[in-house]
Amino acid sequence: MAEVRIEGLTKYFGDTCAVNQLNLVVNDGDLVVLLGPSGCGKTTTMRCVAGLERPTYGDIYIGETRVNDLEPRERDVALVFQSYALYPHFTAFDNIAYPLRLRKTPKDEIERRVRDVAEMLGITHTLERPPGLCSGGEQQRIALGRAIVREPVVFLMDEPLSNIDALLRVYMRAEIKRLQHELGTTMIYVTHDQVEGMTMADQIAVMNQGTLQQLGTPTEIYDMPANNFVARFVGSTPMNFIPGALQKENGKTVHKSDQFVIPVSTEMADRAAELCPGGVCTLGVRPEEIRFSMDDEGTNQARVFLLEPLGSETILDIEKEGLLLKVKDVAATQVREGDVLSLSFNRFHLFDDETGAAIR
Amino acid sequence: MAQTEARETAATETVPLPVEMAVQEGRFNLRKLLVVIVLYLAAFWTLVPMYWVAISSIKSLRDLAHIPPRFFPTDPRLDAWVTIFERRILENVYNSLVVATLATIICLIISVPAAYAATRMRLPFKFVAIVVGLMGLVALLPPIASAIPLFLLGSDLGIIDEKYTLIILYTVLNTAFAVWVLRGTFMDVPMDVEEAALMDGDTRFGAVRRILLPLIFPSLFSIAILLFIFNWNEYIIALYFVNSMKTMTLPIAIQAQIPQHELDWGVVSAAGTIAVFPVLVAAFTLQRFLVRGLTFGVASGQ
Repeated sequence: MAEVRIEGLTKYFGDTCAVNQLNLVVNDGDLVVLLGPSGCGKTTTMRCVAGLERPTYGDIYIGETRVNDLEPRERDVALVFQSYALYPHFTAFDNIAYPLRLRKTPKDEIERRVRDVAEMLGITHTLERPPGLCSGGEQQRIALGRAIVREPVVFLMDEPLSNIDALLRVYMRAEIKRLQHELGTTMIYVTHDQVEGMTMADQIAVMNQGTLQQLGTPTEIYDMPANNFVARFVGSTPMNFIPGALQKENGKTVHKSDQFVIPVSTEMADRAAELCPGGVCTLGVRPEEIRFSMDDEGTNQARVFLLEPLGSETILDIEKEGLLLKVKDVAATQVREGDVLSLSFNRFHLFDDETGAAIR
Repeated sequence: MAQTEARETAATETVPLPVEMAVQEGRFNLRKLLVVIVLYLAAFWTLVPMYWVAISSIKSLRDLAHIPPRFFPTDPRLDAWVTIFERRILENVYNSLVVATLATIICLIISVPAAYAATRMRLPFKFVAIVVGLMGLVALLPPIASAIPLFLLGSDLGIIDEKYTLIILYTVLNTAFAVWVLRGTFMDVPMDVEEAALMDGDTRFGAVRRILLPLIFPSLFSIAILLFIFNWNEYIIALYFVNSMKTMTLPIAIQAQIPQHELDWGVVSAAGTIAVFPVLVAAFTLQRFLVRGLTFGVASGQ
């Protein structure tokens, strides 16, 4: 068990900067998800922790040890690959036993520990088979077993669920989280799937273009995105963005766009005056934070042009003068396509157009 | 299990007629008939000379000289075989075996790490391209082009007519080819699997030995067989570097059976049969490996 500390990590491949000045502390026993689109440097960061890549600059500590110059085998870190990377010429048993054999563990202990892990993962029946004869889900568990069996100080997971079908994925992510809780081992989990990140993480580190955008609990990331990238990336129905500018109207500050006039609280207006003197900013609001009424009064009116029933809820696609908004409503919605709604904006964020940073 | 049984029965069946093979799912298929006929012709074309050599070694002089040629000996005899063994052909077989085997093994010991480095290490692309390209060039060079300079070098060093000289030369001449083919084979094995071994606590050397090499063993084996056959058949270099019975390999020994006067075809044929034998055995027992090895490295896109 150990914490992982990444200080000023920078990694170049030739002239390409994959990771830029990354600082991140993963507390002992935490499950931290590195979340970001492909090419954002999350896998490179993880491979640097694993020892498969050497940082160009910066330091990585596991516990109190600086591991920059240590080989992977000296770091006591286990990695589950996206492709599972099982050894096709070994049986499942030998796959799981391999790390123990390398550590010269006594034979009967290997036998016992492999069987224990297999039982924990429900793959006892596959042990005598080569991985090629196991299903995708079983291969996944064998790969997990190989990582768990040697009780490493840190688990690294590189998109381990992206190759199995959607249904199994929902179960496996809960299972990995449960395992991590039971074992209490620090875990760094890389994914581009924000739902996976939200459901599993103690802390999420959102990355883009090699830099850390925000580090926080899933709730913090969702409710208080640090910038418009995080706001856009997190949330299964994406956040709505309304470009515009802050103006004074009748002594009150409003966010005025081509389509809407949205009142802004004095508190927020004060912060905006300080942080974004020009006042040019984009308003971001989550689909569930837009309220609406069917009466055709009020300033902010718009027409529904499409309904997307999702079973548990319905997404209303609303259009006004070229701006598209998505609004969440209950499954049994009264709204029909073509209806005109009057909108009010419950909780929203303002993002400085120049920097993209949230104003708060 | 069912697969191996099917393969065994197929192997023990008699050769089917082209017309039989052309019937597919109960329907006659003209295209297939043509394909089978062409294949039969190709097999015939290849096998008849071998049959001819083998049969000539037990023919009497009358049969050998008979016109039109006789496909079956009327009066088989073993005179030629007695003669060839009297001329100590087994010593030549021994020389060939030693030279071909050692050259193959040393060549693999050199080319496996070289090919590994060329595929796995993050070397500048240009560097790899130049080195591997140059090596490919050596492989494409006709051996006769290098034979004379090599001979001059060898005689200056005083290492003509030594088995180890042949071993060194064969190793050098085959390394380029071996690296070339092995490189393709290594590229077929995903990097992940090796990295998994590193993460599991293995050293790089251990990962190669325990994971990579076992995975490519079939290709490695077939490359070894190919190299062995190249070495076994090599003639041009040996012609320059062999001076005595001490180093004489089979191809040179066969040629030595052709005297100035009075050529005994029976003896030459017997020597030829001996030379073909190990190659045939290798090809038949390992044909599954051989076919896979040749395509395994090349068609990595599949």
